Amino acid sequence: MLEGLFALARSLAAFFSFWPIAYTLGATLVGVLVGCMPGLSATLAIALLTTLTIKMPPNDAILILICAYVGTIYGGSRTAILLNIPGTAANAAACLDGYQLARQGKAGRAMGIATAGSVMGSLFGVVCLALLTPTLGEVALSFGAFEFFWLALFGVMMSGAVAGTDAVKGWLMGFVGLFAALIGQDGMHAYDRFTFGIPDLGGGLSLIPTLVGAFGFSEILTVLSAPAQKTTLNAVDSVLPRIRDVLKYWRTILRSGVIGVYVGILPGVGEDMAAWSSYAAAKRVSKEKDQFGKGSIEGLMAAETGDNASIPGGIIPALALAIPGSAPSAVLMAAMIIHGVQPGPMLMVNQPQFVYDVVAMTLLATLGMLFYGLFLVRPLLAVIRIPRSIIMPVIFVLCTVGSFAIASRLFDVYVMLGTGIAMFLLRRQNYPVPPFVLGLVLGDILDKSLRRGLTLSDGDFAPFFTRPVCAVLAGITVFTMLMYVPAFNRAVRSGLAEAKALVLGRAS
Amino acid sequence: MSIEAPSEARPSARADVVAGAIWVAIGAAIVAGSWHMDRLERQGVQWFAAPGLVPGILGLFIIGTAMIIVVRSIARLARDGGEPAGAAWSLRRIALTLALCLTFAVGLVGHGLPFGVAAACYLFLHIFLLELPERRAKGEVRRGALVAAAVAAGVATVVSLVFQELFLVRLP
Repeated sequence: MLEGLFALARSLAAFFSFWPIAYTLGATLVGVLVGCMPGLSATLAIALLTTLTIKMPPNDAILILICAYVGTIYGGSRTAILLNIPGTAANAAACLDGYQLARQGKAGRAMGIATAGSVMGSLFGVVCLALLTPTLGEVALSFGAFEFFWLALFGVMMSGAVAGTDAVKGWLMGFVGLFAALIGQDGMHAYDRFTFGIPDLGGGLSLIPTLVGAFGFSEILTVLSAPAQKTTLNAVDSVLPRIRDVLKYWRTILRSGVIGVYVGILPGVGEDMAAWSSYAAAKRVSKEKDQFGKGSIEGLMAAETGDNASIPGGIIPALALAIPGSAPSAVLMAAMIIHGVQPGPMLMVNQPQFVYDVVAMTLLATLGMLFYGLFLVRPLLAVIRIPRSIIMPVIFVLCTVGSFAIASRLFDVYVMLGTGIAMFLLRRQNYPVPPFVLGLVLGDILDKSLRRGLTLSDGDFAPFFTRPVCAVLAGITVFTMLMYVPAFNRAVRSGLAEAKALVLGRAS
Repeated sequence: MSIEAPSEARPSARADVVAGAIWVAIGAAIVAGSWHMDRLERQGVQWFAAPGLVPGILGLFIIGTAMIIVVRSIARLARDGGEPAGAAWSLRRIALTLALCLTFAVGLVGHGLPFGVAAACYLFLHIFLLELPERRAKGEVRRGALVAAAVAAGVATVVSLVFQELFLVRLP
């Protein structure tokens, strides 16, 4: 414990100097601006910045990526409040009350509440990141191939279940992502799989160009294929967060922080689900239930605290298990690997200081977010006024450069284009992209873990179901899938209702 | 002010059937490819460590989920009839975007033309053409061209400088 505190102090001392602070302010600003532009996601921001920072020292590069991540999720609340259009998927819950507050002439106050909630949620998450990552890493040291197989599958299945409106399509996208990760040389025997004799495919589909295509080019096509909508930008009053709001709703902040971190830790469940869960929990216990959806300060506070708390929450399993909690943390984890950091249970053994470096980076990002929440709010709103017809071609140029920059190969640009067109068409059919990303990141772990596990058990599948952690993960995964079968769902719900009635009957 | 946002719509049952059938075909191709993949038995590799094992299983899962989509959509089709998809596509805009993006990324980039020049040409054309209907309606075509040229020159210069000089990243 004391050793951990010293390590954290060392990291903080190293990061509180000129260049890290300059990087923090710059990257958080980029994140806020990206978040302000509806359609551009945190995943895209991190993927593009990974290519830009590829030649930088690892700690500087990861700091920039984390600041952009935090900034994007925070920045997305601006358009949610002012335009009723969530800047990122994570800010959809903030639209409900944020926009209503703006319509009542309280847009500035709503942005102040969003700032307060985001900062408090992020700080709560940072504390959990510092405390839980080493503990989880220690537990994960006892995990073997059997457990990692289920963790990978669990992440993809959970992401598929919650990412879109149709779980079956989500799972299908997860399986496609897992398969796409296997294209190229097999990690055990160096055998070429599904490369069709194309030498560039030997190393597999590069993650960053694929993600830039999936989240960048497909978004450009989606935005430009839709007709223009006229929207009114609401007037802005004072944007300063009020201490009174924080003190009044401290229970909501704490509850949403816990929910946000918990949802963040769950593999494959992203910031959007954290915001919705926090919002629903706040509404359930609120004394002002009737205000929810009509401009509730508590509702907005809960949503913004939840989504920001889930950012450090999502980084926890990425660091400790190499199983990312969300699509943006999956890209962040990939960037760490590119920079020579190998996340997973051995991280606390091989590079323990790095975990505390990430804690310090997330803390700096939170301070950067607070800075932009207190100052420069009005000038930053100017970006919302830039027409999509100018922004989108510029983003495409960045997508092209970004895809090329990773390995200086034109092939990666073509991968970006192909993925972008495919994802554009699939999104039109309601196929969600995040499960594909999780599959792409976790495919290699799943493949190696299944085959190594079977090698260890000499072809016996039993250990995949009989080891305690495996049994729990397998049970949750199968149960989650079965809950989407209407007959099973009805049976479980009626069983629960009967059990509840029985317990209440006995209690009375 | 005017902003453009994508509209979400539920795909038609017919489109779901077609997409599901394509996924079944892709899954079947993956299973077939995995089955015919070398199992490396001569190297003493057991069946459970063969390279085609996991892709084959995933192919089966893809077929399974795609079949659910197909069956579900056929039932929806029988119940509701072939309702049209709800979202409006601007085919002209999407064709223009695809043509310009592909020409830039496949035709111009990496084929001798300096990146800054290629990017400036692409940006000017794309921005100008996207804004043309609105500018023409307002009688501001020349102003639109000037704005597009200014943005194109500025962005191409800044991107080239930032990537190449500041972050030392090679440009195509």
